[in-house]
Amino acid sequence: MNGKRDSMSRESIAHYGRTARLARWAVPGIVFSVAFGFAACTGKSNPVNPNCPTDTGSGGSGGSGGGVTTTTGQGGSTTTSSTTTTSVTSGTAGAGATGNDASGNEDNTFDHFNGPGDPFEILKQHLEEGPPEIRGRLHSCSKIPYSSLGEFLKSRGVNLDATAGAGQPKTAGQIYKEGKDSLGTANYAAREPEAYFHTTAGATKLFDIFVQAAPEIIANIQNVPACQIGGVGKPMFDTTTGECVFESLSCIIGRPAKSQDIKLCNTMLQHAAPGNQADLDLKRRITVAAFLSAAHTCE
Amino acid sequence: MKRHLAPFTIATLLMVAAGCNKDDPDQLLTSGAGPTGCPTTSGAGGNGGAGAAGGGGSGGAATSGTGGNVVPVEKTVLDERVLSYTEALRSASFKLVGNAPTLEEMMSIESQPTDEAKKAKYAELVDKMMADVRFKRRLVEFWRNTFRMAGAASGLTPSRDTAPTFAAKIVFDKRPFTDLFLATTGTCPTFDGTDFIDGDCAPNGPPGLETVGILTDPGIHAQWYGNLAFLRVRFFQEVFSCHKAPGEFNPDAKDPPPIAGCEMAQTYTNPWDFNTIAGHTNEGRVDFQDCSSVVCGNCHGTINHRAPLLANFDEHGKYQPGFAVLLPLEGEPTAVMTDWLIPGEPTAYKVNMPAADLKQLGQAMTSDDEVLQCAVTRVWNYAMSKGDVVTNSAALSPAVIASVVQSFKLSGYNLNAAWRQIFLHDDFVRF
Repeated sequence: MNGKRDSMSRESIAHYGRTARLARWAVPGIVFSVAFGFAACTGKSNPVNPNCPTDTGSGGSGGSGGGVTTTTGQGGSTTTSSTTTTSVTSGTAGAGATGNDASGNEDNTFDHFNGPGDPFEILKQHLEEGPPEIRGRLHSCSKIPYSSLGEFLKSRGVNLDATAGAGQPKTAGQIYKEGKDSLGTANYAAREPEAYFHTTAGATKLFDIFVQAAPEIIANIQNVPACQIGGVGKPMFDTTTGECVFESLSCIIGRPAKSQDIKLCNTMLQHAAPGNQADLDLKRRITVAAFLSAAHTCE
Repeated sequence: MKRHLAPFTIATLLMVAAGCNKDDPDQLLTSGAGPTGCPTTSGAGGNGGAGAAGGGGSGGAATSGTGGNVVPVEKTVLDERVLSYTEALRSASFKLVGNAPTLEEMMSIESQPTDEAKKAKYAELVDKMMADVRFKRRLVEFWRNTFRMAGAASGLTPSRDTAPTFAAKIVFDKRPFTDLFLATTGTCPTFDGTDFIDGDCAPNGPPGLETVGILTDPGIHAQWYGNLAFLRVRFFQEVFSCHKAPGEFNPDAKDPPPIAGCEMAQTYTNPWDFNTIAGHTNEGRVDFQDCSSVVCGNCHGTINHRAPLLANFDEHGKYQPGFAVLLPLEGEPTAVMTDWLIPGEPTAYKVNMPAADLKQLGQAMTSDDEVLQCAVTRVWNYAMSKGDVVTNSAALSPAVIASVVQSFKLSGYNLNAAWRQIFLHDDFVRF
């Protein structure tokens, strides 16, 4: 887009700008959904986890109603009240996931919404949230500031000064330090503040950091003061049962874990191949990274 | 909060409804009596989303059964929010001290037996965080981002840190927010990462007006140096009035044009007399009275009355006896008063708010409800993750923060108290 900027009309630039704003607002959720899907719902249908889609390609055509509630059946649900939104459907909206992995398909992760779009999407966003008197009272989703992200990682056991050995993937600390621009730090010389919202690159970088931070967190969480009560910490996974530990899961997501969180956490671990320690370690890593991503995409 | 992670999913759901509210885009979608031609929330539910992966489809009407005339219950998303002091703690902790809460802090709320007890514990933790040294750091960062400036002094370039640090210190020390525009001493403090250290700016104004809050801050004037001092006007307008130019609007704007022989492309909406600003009918070297395409005066009516007040600071932010900004014309001549206003026209903040100097400008700003409301708006938007009110187009309805603004005024403009009130607000603790 930037390459065409010089030849674009003012209206077109504004049009692109609004689209980019929508993308900044929407992309983290989309990216996370995809990441989470990979983490918890990889493969085909999952009879164990009802949160996993059974397949792709058979999305519904959508109803033609006004109010919005979650609906997966025919002809509208039996809900008797309507609201301006917020019930979240599984899968993507509209036609549903199509199974088409072609680049640019809006149902897959290749589509980053950086291209042309409808400026009225912003209006739709406002429609979704309601009148100003209402949307002003709702929390939105800004990114965690760069400095706060660093403090959080350190407090959960990540060594930001660690460097990877030759031929090894970069550590979380390396990605963090080298990813300042992607993560939206300020450029005051250009009168630019730190970005409030993620870009696609920023969200991706954040998830990269979490994936690389997960092993360090798993190894150290028991010993970090932020995750201890009365000076005593617990491991990320129970040493006897191997299941997720409430206190440690709570500490990485920043609020007390709910029973659903624990259940989902354990469900993800159950995907490990029996007797395969390497696969279990991988699933544990992905589980921690997925929870970090889910919890901290928004500040 | 999490609902905002799935906006794209939801956005499509609204496409049908969007077309039905074009006459009133802010009307709630769920209004029982929708606009003419639009379906109400009762009636047939459509085909529904049959696909397992697709989920909702575009609509999923909120109906009962398959087409009966169900009377909808009037609700908004506000009714769907869930009270959660632990979720509030997480968000507040990141914003106030720059990290997630500790496990002990989380559990200290979670272990409380009632919502009232949780609320009290949460308030206690907010107070603790606002007394934490890390809150000072967050305040400095907040104001750096708000002012879009930071950086140590280097060579002729002055410190770009003093103004945001001064603003942070005012908030942390619970001083009146109005000191930001009126203080005559201590306006250049420093911050060592732990403590604020008092400091005076070098005199940077005419005799008697060497220091006028941040209005004489050399860092601001260096950071926002530009032709005719318009960047500085824009800075003060957007940061402290919370909206872009025009700074004023005349609700009784008249068409046809107020100037003879000028075929106005659109209505002149600025309240200042069109003939008071520089242009082709007077000595102005830039025609702010152009009306052939866009009416420049709609913004410059106000801008030109403010800019001369900020034009004595050179590119390094240093006060000069004469104007020290340039004109974007061949040779880049130094600006003179008639480049902004006709001879004899006094400077001002707004119509009926004259400002002959920076002290009067500061007094005018602190008496402007728009400025006071803006201060609270910025804190609210920060707390609610809305982004910058101007650059992120996160305008806020005054009704949302009316109670906070009122308390802010009654407290003697204590913005620290407003921060606390917002982080304890009923809306902040609901998700």
